Amino acid sequence: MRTLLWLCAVSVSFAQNPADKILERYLEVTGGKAAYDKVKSVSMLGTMEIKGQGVKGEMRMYRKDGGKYYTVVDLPGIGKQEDGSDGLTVWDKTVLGPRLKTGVEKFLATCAAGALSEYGRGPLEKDNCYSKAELVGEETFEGRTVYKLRMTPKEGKPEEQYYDKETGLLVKTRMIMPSPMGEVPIVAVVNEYRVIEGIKTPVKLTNEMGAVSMVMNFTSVKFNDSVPETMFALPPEIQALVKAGKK
Amino acid sequence: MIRILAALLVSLAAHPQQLETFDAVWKTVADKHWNPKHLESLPGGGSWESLREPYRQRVQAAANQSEVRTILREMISKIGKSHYAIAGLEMKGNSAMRQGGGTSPGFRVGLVEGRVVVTGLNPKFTQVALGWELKAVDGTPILTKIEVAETLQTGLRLHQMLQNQISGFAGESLSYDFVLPGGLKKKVTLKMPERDGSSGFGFVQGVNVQREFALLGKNKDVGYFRLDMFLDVVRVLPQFEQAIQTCAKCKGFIIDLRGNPGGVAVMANAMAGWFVKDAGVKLGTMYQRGVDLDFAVIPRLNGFGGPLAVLVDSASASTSEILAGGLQDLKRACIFGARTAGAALPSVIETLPNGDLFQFAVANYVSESGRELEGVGVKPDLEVAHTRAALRAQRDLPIEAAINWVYANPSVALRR
Repeated sequence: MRTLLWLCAVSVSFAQNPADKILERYLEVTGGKAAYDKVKSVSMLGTMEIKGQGVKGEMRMYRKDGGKYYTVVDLPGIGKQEDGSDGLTVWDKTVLGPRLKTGVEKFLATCAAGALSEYGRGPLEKDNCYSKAELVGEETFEGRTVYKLRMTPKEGKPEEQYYDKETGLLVKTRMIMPSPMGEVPIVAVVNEYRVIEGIKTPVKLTNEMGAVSMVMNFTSVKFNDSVPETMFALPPEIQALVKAGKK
Repeated sequence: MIRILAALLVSLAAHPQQLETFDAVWKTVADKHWNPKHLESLPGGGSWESLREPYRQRVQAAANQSEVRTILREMISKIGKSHYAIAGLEMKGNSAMRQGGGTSPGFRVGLVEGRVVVTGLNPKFTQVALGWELKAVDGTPILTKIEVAETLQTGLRLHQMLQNQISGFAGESLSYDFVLPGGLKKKVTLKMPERDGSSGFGFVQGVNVQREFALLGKNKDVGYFRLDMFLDVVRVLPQFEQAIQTCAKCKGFIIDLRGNPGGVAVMANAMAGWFVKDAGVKLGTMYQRGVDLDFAVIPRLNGFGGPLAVLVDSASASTSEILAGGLQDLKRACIFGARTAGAALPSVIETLPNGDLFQFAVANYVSESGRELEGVGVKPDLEVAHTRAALRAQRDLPIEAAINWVYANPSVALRR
């Protein structure tokens, strides 16, 4: 009986995808599944800066169980750019105008909301968001050895995630984000983690999109803070679009 | 995009910071020009790589920052494209041309039949009339000669040069010498408006963004919205929306982009959204290195479905060309006026190590029908220009042509 159990264990160990082990390690080194399970809502306050161009504004992000999220970036000279979901309707309201997200864009936005951060879907919603995770190999990033994973979302194009071999932390993601302006390749780099309520959380990130580089720096991150439901209510323009059945 | 506030700089001796500045400019172009092949074979011969050492040596030998700036400007001019510029504070003591403060006095001038005349007035501005010929500002004669080869962008440069000469600093009083129809000379003293609270973007700050909405036509049933720069997004876009809603029953709508040098590019998409009804429409595509972005237009609820006219001239550039050219390709607007500047490249502005500002193009713009507008511009569907006689009669012929077209096309315009 003991032998059978041992064989089973070996079998499981061999069968486990090496990418899964890397993803599980990320969960462990950043706080552990139990710590994440306690998180029901997140508030992140900070800034977004368009690097080198003298543009810097306030950024706020709120996440809540049930796929609810609201992000607002207020850039001087441009105004508020908003993005949100009440758990059913996924939308954004930018300079281009109000819009409902559908299809792949809606799916990926919902996944990102569940992953607590803005740097991509990450490993936190692996089962919900991805159909496949593969270890591609090892590379060097900023002088450190990293594992390169190819993650295939259930909808949308595969992305690459890079995990530090030594620390186990996610350091970079390459992804293709669908948007009204087409498919936008984004390289998201985590510049800084900070331990907040037992969870090592990315608090400084740089997103590169072509010639534009945007730095997000969160000075305040709170878990399970009281986030009112009204935060996720649909703005009147979005309600009008829903009513009109317009995409 | 651009009127630029320069950084604090005066005649610093060339030192390692200047070489760092040179390297930043050279590398930025090498890394971020959207088409590396263009850099391998520049219009005037040679490659971007071949310029590196000779210009670096010149910068190393430069006596001061002003000289460095001149050398860098010469180098980036070899690229042969718009939207490459180095900006810094410079004294032009030996120039006979008046340097204004950037604040418009409330009227606009243009070169019409070889004379500098008033071609436009801000709303409620009554001290000056259309068609008056301007001879001097604060005793300095108006100059119209520009030292550039005859190109499409000559119109843009001339326009900017003229508006600069008549401009002043906020709150400053200036005297203007006019010749009125009939030959009567008149001196008018005007106080420059204070800052109107317009917000800039990034390093483009300190400008009053003129915008105007009116109902024109014999029955005041043609909407007219003029914008002299695509900035102050937070106020202009809601004002544009308000204009559209006010004009729900108008016979037509006119967007006046004459003299508009561009600005925040996505404002073009946002404004176009009020005139299309189907999703998936775009004004064109922006090709960056490794990234192609569509100038997508998101249809707005309760948009305007009637005839749309867009007024442009040789000083309409960049975002103006994207909006006019895009709507023309979509067959959603009829374009009136003169061919645009052909300076249509999306660009960004960054600070250099020595404090100067460097504007550089990051993408090529190709309209929906596949036209590259850079160096070519948007050709109006109907070319119509000011005449001195019409201006003296207080008539703006391009606006009249657009109004007449609206009345002649009462049916609902093609909408995609």
